[in-house]
Amino acid sequence: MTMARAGAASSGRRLDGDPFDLGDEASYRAWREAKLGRYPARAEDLVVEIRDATNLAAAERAAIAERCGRANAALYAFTPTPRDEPRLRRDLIAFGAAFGLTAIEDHRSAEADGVVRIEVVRDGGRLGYIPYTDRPISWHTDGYYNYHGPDRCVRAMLLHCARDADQGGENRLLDPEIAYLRLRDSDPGHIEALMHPQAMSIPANVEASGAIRRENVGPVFFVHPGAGALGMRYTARKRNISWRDDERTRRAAAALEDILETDPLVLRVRLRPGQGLICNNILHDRSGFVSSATAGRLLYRIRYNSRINLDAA
Amino acid sequence: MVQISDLMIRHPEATSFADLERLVIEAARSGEIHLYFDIKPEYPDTPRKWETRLELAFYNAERVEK
Repeated sequence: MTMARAGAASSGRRLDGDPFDLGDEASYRAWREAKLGRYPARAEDLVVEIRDATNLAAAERAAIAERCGRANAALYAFTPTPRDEPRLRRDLIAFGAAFGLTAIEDHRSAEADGVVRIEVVRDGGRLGYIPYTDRPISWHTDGYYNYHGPDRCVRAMLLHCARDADQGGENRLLDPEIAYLRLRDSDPGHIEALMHPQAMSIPANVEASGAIRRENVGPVFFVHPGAGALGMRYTARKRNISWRDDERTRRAAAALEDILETDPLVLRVRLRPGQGLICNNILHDRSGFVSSATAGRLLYRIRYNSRINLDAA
Repeated sequence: MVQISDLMIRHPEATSFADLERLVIEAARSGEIHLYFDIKPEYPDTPRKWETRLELAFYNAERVEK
């Protein structure tokens, strides 16, 4: 929050008024100033050491909440990191639950506890999906193809590194609130276009199991009616996606793409074993990577249908 | 740069504001240039003007008797 001077903890809570209402310029200006004033300049500023994920110290809880208040994300480092997988999976679930994250998404690749192994696969149900390859993944928010309203979508996620790659496997991160802010500053019409309920569509998909996933249509930006929090649903991929067929939407999508490639507030991180990201489903990508065949890159992922509860901290 | 939370997490044996003040002084003496107040230290003896106390401890670390 402040550097060697007085200051109150950032709560991440909304100011009076509605900064995401295009008609409420005063609230937006106040929120914008506060957001940019406390946004971290480096990924290192988001890191919190965690001694015991199942029994967080008050300072650990408060530090995670502070990072999430500033950037909708915190990076953590388990020290020491649990060595056996069942213990680690339990720790990850307990860590999320300490921040009110208990509504775990029922994902087709998840095991019984809701945790998904993100690794290169040669066979099985995960084969054919890009997260389970060593290829780069373009900018996205998690679950962009599974939006059923602000209450029924992926609103938070946890990504934990058990083994890193020999080379590559870096992530770029950006808080959706920063993307919103840049777009609105550039042209409020971009926000109107991307909040349209049919802004972005993902066509129906026949999965390897033969199951059919219906077409998914929704906005890019949305505001949760209860919490007033901004959410985002986005993918930068070019195939199997269709944007609303009008000039304003195309211009807004292009502007967003430009922000993601050029904005100085994009953070870069390469997760090491024991480190992870806990966030309100922020924008992220992944570079391609090279791993040894015997012990390849392994991350665990949990998605949640609720946001991080800063009051739980 | 050192953050208040880093000091508290790395030193669970510190159980009072006075302990934290000593950690801040040690951090300054070890060469830290910036102290970042990311969280409020919640100890039973945390004073109302805790930021001022820690700021002074950090800046005056070299003057405090070792």
